[in-house]
Amino acid sequence: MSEQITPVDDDKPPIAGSWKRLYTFVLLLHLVIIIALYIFTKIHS
Amino acid sequence: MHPLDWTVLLLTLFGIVAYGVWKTRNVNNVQSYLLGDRDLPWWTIGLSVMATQASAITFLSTPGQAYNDGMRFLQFYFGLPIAMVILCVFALPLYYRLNVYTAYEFLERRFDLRTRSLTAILFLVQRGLAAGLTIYAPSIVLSTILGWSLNVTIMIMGMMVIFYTVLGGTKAVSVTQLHQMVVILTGLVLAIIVIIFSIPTEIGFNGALDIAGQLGKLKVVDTNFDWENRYNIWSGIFAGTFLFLSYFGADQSQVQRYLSGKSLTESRLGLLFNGIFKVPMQFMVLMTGILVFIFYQFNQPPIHFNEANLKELKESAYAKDYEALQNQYDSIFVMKQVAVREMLKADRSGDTTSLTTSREEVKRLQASAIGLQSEVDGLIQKVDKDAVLEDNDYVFLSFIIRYMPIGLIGLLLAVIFSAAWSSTSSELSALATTTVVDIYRRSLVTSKEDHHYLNASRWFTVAWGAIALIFAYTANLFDNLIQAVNIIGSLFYGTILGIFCVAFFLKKIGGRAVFYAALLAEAVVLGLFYLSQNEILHISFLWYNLIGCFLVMGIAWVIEIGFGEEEVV
Repeated sequence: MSEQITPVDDDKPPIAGSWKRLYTFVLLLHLVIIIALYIFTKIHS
Repeated sequence: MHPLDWTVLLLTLFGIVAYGVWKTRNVNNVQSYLLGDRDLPWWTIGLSVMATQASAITFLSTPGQAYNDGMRFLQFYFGLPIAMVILCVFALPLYYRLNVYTAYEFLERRFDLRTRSLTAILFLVQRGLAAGLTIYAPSIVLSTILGWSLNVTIMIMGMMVIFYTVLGGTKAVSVTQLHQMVVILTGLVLAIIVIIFSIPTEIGFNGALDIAGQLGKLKVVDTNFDWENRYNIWSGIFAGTFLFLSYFGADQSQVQRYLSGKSLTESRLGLLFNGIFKVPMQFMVLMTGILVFIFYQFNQPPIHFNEANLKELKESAYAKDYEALQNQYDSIFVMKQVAVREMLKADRSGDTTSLTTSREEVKRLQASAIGLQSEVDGLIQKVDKDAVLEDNDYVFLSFIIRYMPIGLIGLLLAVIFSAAWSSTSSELSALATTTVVDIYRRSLVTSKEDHHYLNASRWFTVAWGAIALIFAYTANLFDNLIQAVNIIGSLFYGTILGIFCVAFFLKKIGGRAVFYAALLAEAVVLGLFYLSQNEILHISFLWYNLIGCFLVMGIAWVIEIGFGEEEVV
C-alpha cells in the first residue's frame, strides 16, 4: 500500500485560462441548457 | 435475424473485445491491473465515465419511459454537471495527492480502518447486487424479443465481459469502453435518423414535435415542488446533485475510471466532459422514445409490447377475449390517426377551437386505448399470475426488430451489448479492486509480493463475475427486482456520501463520530424506507441520498461536540 503523498500537477486547463473560469463556463452552459429546455417545454405545452 | 445483422453484431462485439485483449496483453502488475498505468487522456476518461453509467437498460428502458411518460425523466440528470464541478474542486486533488487506488483508502487516512472497511462493505453489497442486474435485465428483454434462451443470453452477456475484464483489468475496461461508446453513439444517431425518415413526409420532424407537445410528451422541465414527485427540477438539482456526488465521488466503479487518468488535469477534463455532454445525450435517448411514439401514431402499435406474454395469451383459453380487445384497439387506432391529423392541421392553421376539440378527441381515444391495454394486461395475468406486465423496456427493442433496416438491427443490438458490457466490466473491476485493496491486502493477507496481489485481483474478478452470473440466473425468483436494486442503491448512497462529506468539509470530526453517525444514519434511512413502504410517509427514494448525507454530517457533529474524539492509542 502506497503511503506517500504524491505531488500533483496543478496545470492550467488547455482552454479558458484557469480552472475557475472553466468551472464557471460548465455551470453557465448547464444553466443555459436548463433555460433552453424550459423554453422548449413552454413552446410545446 | 438476417445474416448481415449477425455479421455486424458479431464483428462489432468480437472486434472490440479482441482489440481490448490485444491492447492489454502486457498487463503484469497490480498498479497496471487496478489503475491502468495511469496513462489515459481526458477524452477516454470522459467516454469511459459515460459508458460506465449508461448500462444496457438505459437504452432499453429510457426510450420506453419517454414513450409512455414523456421527457420529464431528463430532470433526473440536472444535478450531474454541478456534481462534476464539486468533485473536480474538492475530491480529485485529494485522491491524486494521496495516490490512492480506491476512494475508501482515503477514508483510512482521514479517519480510521473501521470507517474505511464499513464504507467499502456498503459499496460491495450494493454494487455486487447491481452487477447481477446489469447482466440480467437486458438478457430478459433480448431473450424475449429475439426468442433466444434466457440462460444462453445471460451466458453470452456475462462470460465475454468476465473474460476480457479478468485478462486486462481496468485498462481493458477503459480501452473497450472507448470503442463501445463510439458504437453506442453511432447506433443512436443512425436510429434517430431512420425514425425521422419513417415519419410520414407530410408530418415531418416539426409536425412530430407539435403532436408530441400537444399530447403532453415534451414537458421536460417541471417547476412544481413535490416530495412525492420523483422528477421535477428541484429534486433533479438538489437531490440529484447529492446522488451524483455519491455515485461519481464515492462509488469505486466511477472513481476507478478517472483515477486512471495520466494527470489530475486529464481526470478533471474527463469529468467536465461528462458534465457537459451527459444531459444532451440523455435528451437524445429520450427523444428517440418520443419519435417512436410519433411513429406509432401513424403505424399500428402492438397492444402489449412483450411478445412472449401475448403469445401465451393467444394460446390460452382467453384467446377469444383477447381477439375482441385487439379488434377494438385496431378501430381506435384508425380513429386516432384521423384525429391526430386533424389536430396537426388545426395547430398549423392557428384554429384554436378546432385544435382544442381535436386534441381532446385524441386524448379520449388515447385513454380508451390505454384502457384496452389494461384489460389485455388483466387477461395476461389471468393466464400467468407471475407475468411481468410492465412493457416499457420492450418498446424500443420491439421497434428495432420490426422496423429498422437490415444491418442497423445488428448494429443496434451491438449497442445494447456494448452498453451492458461497458457498465458490467467497470463494476467487476471496481468490485475486485475494492475487495483486494480495502479488505484482502489491508486486513487479511498484508505482506505478499506484487504478483500475489495481481493473481488475487484476477481471481476476485472471476469470483465477482460468478456471483453476478448466479444472481442473474436466479433473479427471476425475486419480485420487482429492478425497482428493488435501484432503491437499495439510494438506501446506501446517502450514508456513503455523508462519510465523504464529513471527510472533506468537517475537518474537526474524527473516526469514531463518523463511524457511529454512519450506522445511525443508515438505520434512520432504512426506517424512513420502511415507513414509505407501509404508506405511513411518502418520500421519493431519490431524497434518501440527501437525507442520509445530512444525517451523517449532523449526527457526527453532535457526537463530536457531545463526546469528543477517542484517544488515539
